[in-house]
Amino acid sequence: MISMITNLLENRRVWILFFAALLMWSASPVDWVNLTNEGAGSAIRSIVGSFLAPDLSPKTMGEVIQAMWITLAYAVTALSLAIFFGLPLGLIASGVLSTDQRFVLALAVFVRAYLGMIRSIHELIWALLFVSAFGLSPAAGIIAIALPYSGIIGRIFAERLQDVPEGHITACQVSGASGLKLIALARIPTVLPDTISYLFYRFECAIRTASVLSFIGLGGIGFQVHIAMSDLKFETVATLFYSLLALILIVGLIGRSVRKRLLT
Amino acid sequence: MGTSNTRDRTYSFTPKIPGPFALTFIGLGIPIFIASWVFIFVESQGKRSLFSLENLDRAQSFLGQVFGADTWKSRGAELPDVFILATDTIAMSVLAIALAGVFSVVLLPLATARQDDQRAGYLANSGYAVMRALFVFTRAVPELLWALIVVFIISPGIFAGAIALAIHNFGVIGRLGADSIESLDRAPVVALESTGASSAQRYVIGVLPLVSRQLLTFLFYRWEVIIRTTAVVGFVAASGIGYQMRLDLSLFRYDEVGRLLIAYVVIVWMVDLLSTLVRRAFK
Amino acid sequence: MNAIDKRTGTEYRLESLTRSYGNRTVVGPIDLTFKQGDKVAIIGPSGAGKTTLLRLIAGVVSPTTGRITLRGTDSRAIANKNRFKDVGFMHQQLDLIPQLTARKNIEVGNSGRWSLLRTLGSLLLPVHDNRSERVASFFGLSDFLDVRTSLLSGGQQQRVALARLLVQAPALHLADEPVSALDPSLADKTLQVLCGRTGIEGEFVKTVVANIHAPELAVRHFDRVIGLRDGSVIFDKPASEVTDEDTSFVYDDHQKEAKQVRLPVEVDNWGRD
Repeated sequence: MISMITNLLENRRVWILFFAALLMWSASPVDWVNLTNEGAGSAIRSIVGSFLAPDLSPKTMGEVIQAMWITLAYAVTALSLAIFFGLPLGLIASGVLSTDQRFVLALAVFVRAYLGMIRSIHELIWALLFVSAFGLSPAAGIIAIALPYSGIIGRIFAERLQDVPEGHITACQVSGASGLKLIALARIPTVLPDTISYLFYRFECAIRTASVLSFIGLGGIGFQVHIAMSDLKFETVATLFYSLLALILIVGLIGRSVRKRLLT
Repeated sequence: MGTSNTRDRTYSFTPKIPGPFALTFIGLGIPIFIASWVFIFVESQGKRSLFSLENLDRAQSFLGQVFGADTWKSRGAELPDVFILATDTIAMSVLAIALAGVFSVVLLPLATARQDDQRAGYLANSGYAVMRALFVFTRAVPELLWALIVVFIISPGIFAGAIALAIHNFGVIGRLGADSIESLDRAPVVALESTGASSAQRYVIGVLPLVSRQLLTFLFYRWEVIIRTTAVVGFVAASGIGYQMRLDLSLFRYDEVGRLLIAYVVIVWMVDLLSTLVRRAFK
Repeated sequence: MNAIDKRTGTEYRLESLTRSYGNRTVVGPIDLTFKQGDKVAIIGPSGAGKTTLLRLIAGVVSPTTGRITLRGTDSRAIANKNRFKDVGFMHQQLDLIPQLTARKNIEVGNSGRWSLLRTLGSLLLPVHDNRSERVASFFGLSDFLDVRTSLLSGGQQQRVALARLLVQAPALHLADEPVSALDPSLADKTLQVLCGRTGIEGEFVKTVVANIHAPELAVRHFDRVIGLRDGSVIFDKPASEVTDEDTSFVYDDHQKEAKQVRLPVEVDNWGRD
């Protein structure tokens, strides 16, 4: 019986059929007839038009730049918290600290499970829950981002630490390193370049998430987009979108040059 | 035996002035870091402090209600609603990944730098730049913001949310896929060219099979991410778990929130499980 | 340069040493004795168990049977964290950390002696360890010290690994193919440093056991040569007495006639002794 199920699970055709069926089932509740809104055509035209001619007036730009700064500030603080808590948790979760003690190993498993659980829930849902629990405050938003981010940062860091080739470790052990010295010499320098470039990627994600977080009332790009949309000021929306793009491009560029320098 | 010298303690300090890049990085980075924290601190004044006593009480009662008795002993009428919301959320995510997948796979060849096709020339280059820029742009804007625009055109519902998700993920998958294709060994594709295959045929028969396994991994990995984000897009697209959760939070119906949270975590785990199983089957 | 030595003897002893994986005996049984200050080369074809033998002596791998005594103390009695004073090992695969500069990799040799704080300091602060720098100069690495190790050539990396061993300065230096990537004249110079024939001031009397791939190098730089084949010692004699027949015998591959011819040649050699 069990082997029949596992055979089924390994069969590619079965999966293809399954997903084809899933796709069709997913499409069924969609109301294809009334799909588009009234006046969708003109809406599309004005939106596309505004994206080609965004609002660049000084007054708007001033607000946009302010929104950019708010989003950036949220992203920086949330990410720094996530790094501050995530990296040590990852170190523990990787189990490299345990010499023989089963306690440390159990701790590692526990931390792993904890980090995994946090990741399941999207930052925005965390944010909603925090805001409902603790009221609207910047801290609620920041912790809402920092929590799942520390989870994934910790998990990736743990995996990288574990993947260090055995030879590196043995060579340093023979030279006399052990315990923390060993980790500092053999594991950390090996994983550092990749970890740093991953953290820059996380920074980009944090900016995106921070911009959306502002949607629930904390100020920032998302908040301004919401306002502009309700006023039907599509040109302003376009400017805001482009400003977000600019922010992410800059961070991406910095990340790439850091990565390049780390590789030489 | 070896002669034992006194422990060698000589070392030399060689401070070197960091290069211009490092200087600008640190010179800008530290002020931004400090300024961000100061800003947050200032913003937090006057708002309810996170850790004040009354707040902790409130949080405790919140948690109590979310995971309290009412959540578990639901009246028969509510479970089917939660179930429908969960299935709506799953459906939205499936549509999203399908749309993103189809569009990226079809448009990918335009986004890969063609090194061996001299005839394409200038046209191919501009197409490449446009596609890559499109990927970057759609990737940069988060799904929720796309959703704000999409609901103007498409009536709110599963499909609107799916499109918003698909737009963003089109950029992600497109970028990953284009990079994959560009790092391929081009020999089999070039061989196809000599048999007279058109570029479309070359793509379908030559390139796609080579890169299909990686693309599949990308798709399912993105599905895992999308299912988590679908709930959130539901805020704007007015469907799915996220929408209902927001409603219930504002109505203080925390027991319903608890049920929705559980449903949410369950479908996330289900998708994660499916994704792992599929990737194993297609190894 | 040694840390204060607690060992009482001067002899290294391998007694009835074997190492098996399943029912395949890779090394042994081997009985070997050498003393502090000896320079021993081990030659033999690949797969002869040379690397396993060195790993056994280094304590990286435990013997299946037999005993290893390092200067009067049983190898098993030495705590792992103190082992670095007694024995150091340069792997055939070098196992340098690619992301560190050559200098930092060489300084790893100090890890046994340095405290955690000092180790962190060497990694984070712009501090150079003078001793490591001096050892590096013996191997001609001075110009490459601040280059990322992954960017160095095979020969340079090999010398970095060897320098790391010398910085550690254990009583017993074990090196697995230390000069395989070096051209002949560079190999000569490097082995001169390894075997302490350069008269560098501050040099201390060390014991060296090395797997050498080229018999001429072994004979030229070491005092004693051991021929290993299929895990057993074929010959063990002073370098001056090693003949061409010895070396070709050890490297001889699966030739039935040679097997029959070998025995008289061996007896002949012993006859000369």
